[in-house]
Amino acid sequence: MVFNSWAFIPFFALTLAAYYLLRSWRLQKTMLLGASYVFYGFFHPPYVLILVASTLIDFKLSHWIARAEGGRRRLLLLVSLVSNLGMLAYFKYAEFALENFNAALAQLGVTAQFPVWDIVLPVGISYYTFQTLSYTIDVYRRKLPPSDSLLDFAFFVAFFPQLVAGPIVRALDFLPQTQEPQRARFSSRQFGWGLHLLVFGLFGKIVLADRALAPLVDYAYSRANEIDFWTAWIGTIAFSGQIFFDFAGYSISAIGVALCYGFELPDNFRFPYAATGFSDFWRRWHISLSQWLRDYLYISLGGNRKGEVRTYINLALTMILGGLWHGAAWTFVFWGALHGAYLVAERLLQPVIDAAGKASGLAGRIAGMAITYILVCYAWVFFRARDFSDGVKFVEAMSAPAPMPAHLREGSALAMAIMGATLAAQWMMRDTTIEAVWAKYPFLLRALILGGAIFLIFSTRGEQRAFIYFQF
Amino acid sequence: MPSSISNSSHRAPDLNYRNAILCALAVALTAAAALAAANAYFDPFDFGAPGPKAPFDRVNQFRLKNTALWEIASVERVLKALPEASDAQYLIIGDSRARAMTGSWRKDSTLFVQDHRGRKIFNLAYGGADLTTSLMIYERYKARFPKADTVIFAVHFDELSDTERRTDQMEEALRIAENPLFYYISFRTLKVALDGLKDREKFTPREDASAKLRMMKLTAPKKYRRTMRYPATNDLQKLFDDARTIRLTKLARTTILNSDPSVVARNIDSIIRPAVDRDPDKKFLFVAMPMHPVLERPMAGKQAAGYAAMAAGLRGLGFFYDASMYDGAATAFKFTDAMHVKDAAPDIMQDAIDCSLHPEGRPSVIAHDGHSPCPGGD
Repeated sequence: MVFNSWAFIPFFALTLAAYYLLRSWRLQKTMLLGASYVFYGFFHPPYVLILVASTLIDFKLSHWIARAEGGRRRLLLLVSLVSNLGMLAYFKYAEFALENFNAALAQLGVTAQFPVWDIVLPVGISYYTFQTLSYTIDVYRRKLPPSDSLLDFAFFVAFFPQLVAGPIVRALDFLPQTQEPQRARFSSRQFGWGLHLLVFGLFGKIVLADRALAPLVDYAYSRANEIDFWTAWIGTIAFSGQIFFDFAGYSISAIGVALCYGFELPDNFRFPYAATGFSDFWRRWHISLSQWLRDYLYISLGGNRKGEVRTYINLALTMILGGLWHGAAWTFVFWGALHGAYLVAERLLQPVIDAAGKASGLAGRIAGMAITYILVCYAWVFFRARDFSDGVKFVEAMSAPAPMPAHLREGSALAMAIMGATLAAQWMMRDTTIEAVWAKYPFLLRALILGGAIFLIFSTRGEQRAFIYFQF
Repeated sequence: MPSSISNSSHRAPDLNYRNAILCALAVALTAAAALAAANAYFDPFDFGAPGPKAPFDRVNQFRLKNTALWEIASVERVLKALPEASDAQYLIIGDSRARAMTGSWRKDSTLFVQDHRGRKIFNLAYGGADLTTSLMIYERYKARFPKADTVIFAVHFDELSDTERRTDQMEEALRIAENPLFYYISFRTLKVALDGLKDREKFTPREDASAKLRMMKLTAPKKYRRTMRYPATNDLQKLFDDARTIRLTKLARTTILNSDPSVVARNIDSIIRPAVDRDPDKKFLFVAMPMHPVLERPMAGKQAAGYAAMAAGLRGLGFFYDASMYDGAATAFKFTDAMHVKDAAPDIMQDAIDCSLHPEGRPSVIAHDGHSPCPGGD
C-alpha cells in the first residue's frame, strides 16, 4: 500500500479511529503494529515474514550483545551485521553480482554461465535493515540499552509511515516515544498539522512529480540515442524536480501521517537545491541516510581522524557505498562516486571557496548554489539513465549547445516554470522551515492554498506511479 | 535518552486547524463541482454524462486521445443500451487488428455482432492494446458475460518477445469504469475537451451514435472476400492486379529479428497462462493476426525459433490459429493496410472459430475455392 493509493484512505481512517478509540497504550501500539504488517503485506504478503524474522533476530541479538563482553560481544555484533547485510546482499545484490560474475567469465573466454536468479526485492528492505543495524550498533557502542519490550522494538522497526521509504529512524529517537503514552492523547494541533503535511507531500508527489515533471523526464530519457542539448538539460532539470518532489513528498507525508498518531519522525529534506556546496547539499538531501552513513560507515572507517589522505578515501568510499545502497547497478555506483569526488574536491578547495565567498557576499553564495545545482544535475543523469552508456550520451549532449527544438519550447514551459519557482522558493526558505513560513500566512491564504492543493491532488491524479525510492 | 526526536523541524505551529481544514475542504469541493459540470457538458469520451452536451463529433475528435478510455466508455455504452449483449458466447480481446474482426472500419460497426453462423460475439479489443492490457479489460468485464465460453485472443508475437508494458492508460480507464466520478473531476478530461475545441472546424458536427447501439449482422458481401491464396477480389485490388501491380510477398511474421524463445515462453507463462488457469471452464482460441510485412529476409534462426516457441506455448493453452501471413491489399508502392486487413478480418475470425470447433477441416469462409484454412484440414 502507498500513500497515493485509494486503499490508503480507508486504511488511514480506520487505524486512526481505532487508535484514538482504544484506551490502553499497549493495545494502541499493538493495533498500529498489526496495521503496519497489513500495510506491508499489501506489497507482497510473504515478505512480512522477513520483516518479522529481522525484528526477532535483532531483538534477541541486542540483549546478548548488551550482556556480553570483549570478543564475544564483537562476535555477536558480527552475527547481527552478517544476518542484516546478508539478507540485503541476497535480495538486492545477488542478481547484480551474478550478472557481473558471468560477464567477467565471458571476458575470460569461459562459456559456462551461472543461471541468474529472479529475485523479487522486498520493498523497504534497505530502510528497515539500516534501522535495525543502527540499533544493534548503538547497543554495541553502549549508546542505547536494549529494548525490554519486543512489542516496542517490533513497532519501531515496522511503524508503517516510515517502513518502506524512510526517513530512516534511529532507535535512539523512536524507542523513547514508545514509552510516552501521552502521545496517544488526541491533539488537534498535531493532528491538523499532520494532515497538512500529508497534503503537502501528496501534492508534491502526485501533482508536481508525477503529473507535471515525469512525462518530460520519460520523454527525454527514452531518447538517449538521439538526445540533443536542450532535451538533455530540460529532461535532467525536470528529473531533479521529479526526484525531489517524489522523495521529499513521501518523507513529508510519512512525517505527517506519523504526527497524526502523535509520533515524531526525523526531518529528511531541508531545501536541498538551495545548498551552496556539496557538504551543505548532503546536510539537506536525504538527511536520515547521510547521517546514518556518517555515523555508522564514515566514522567506522576512521572518518577524518586518520590523516588527510585517509579522510578523502573514507569520504569517497562512503559515497560509493551510499550510491550502491540506492540500487544494484553501476550507474548508482558512479552517481555515488561522482558525489564522493565532489566532496573531496570541495574539501581540497575549501580555503579558495571560503575566500571567494567572503569577497563576493550574496552574489558568491548564489553562484555557489548555481554551481552546486548544475553539478548535482550532472550526477542525476547517471541516477536516472537506463545504463552507463546512456548517461554518457546525456553528458555529451549537455556539453554541446544547440538551438532549441520548437516543440520543446511549448512542451516544457510549465515544467521549467515549476523548477524555476522551486529553486527560487528553496533559496528564499533555505534558513527557515515550512512551519515558520506557513504560520506567517493569513488564514484565508492558508485555506485557499490547502484547498487548492487538495483539489489538484484529486483532479490531476492519473495513473498511480510508485514512489521512486521504493525500489531502493 | 532524549524524550523526543532531535532533528525534527516539523513541530506543529500554533494555528486554528479545524477552521482552516473546513475552509480548505469547501474550496476543494467548490472547484471540483465546477470542474465536474464542465466535464459533463463536454463529455469528450461519450461517457453518457447527464445534462446538455456540447455538439462534438466525439468519435473523430477524441477517440484517439485515449483509446483505452474510449473503449471502456464504448463497452459500458453498448452494455447499457443492449442488455442482450451480455448473452455473447464469444469474447474477443486484442488490439486494433482484433477490433477489426467485428468490422471497426464500417460506419455501422459495433462491439456486439452476430456472425453468419448465428454466433453472438462481443468485441473487447481496442487499438493500441497489448497482451497485458487486453487481459486487464477481459478480467474486468468477463463476469458481465456469463454465457461466454470462448475467448478469442488476438496475440502479437512482437509483444511476446518484448517485456516492456505500459498499462497506465488502461489502469486509469478501469478506475474510471469502476467509479465514473474520476472522469468528471479529472483535469485531463477537461484538457482533452479543450484541445478538441481547437480542432473543431476539422470535423463534422456530430455523427449518429444510434448506429452503434444495435447488433450488426456480420456477413461480408462476397465481392469483399478473398481466398487464402490472397488474390484480390475487390474492385480496387483488381485494378492494381490488372495493371500488373507488384504483388509483395510477406516472408516473415515479425519485425523482431533476434527474439529469444525462452523470453517468449516465459512471457506466455507469466502473462497468458495465469489468465487461462483462472478460467478452466473457458476455451481460449489464440489467433496470430496479420503482421506488418517484412520483406528483407525469410524467417530464420532466432526469429523462427521464437515464433515456433509462441505457437507451441499457445497450443499448450488452447487452440492456436495462425493468420499471421495473411496480406492486405498490395499497391505498387506499399501495402495499404497489411495488418488490419479490414474486410477480411471478420472472415479470419470466423475461420478461426470454425477451425477450433472442427480442427479436422471445414470449408473456409475466406477460401471459397473449397480449401480449408485449418491445420490438419485439407
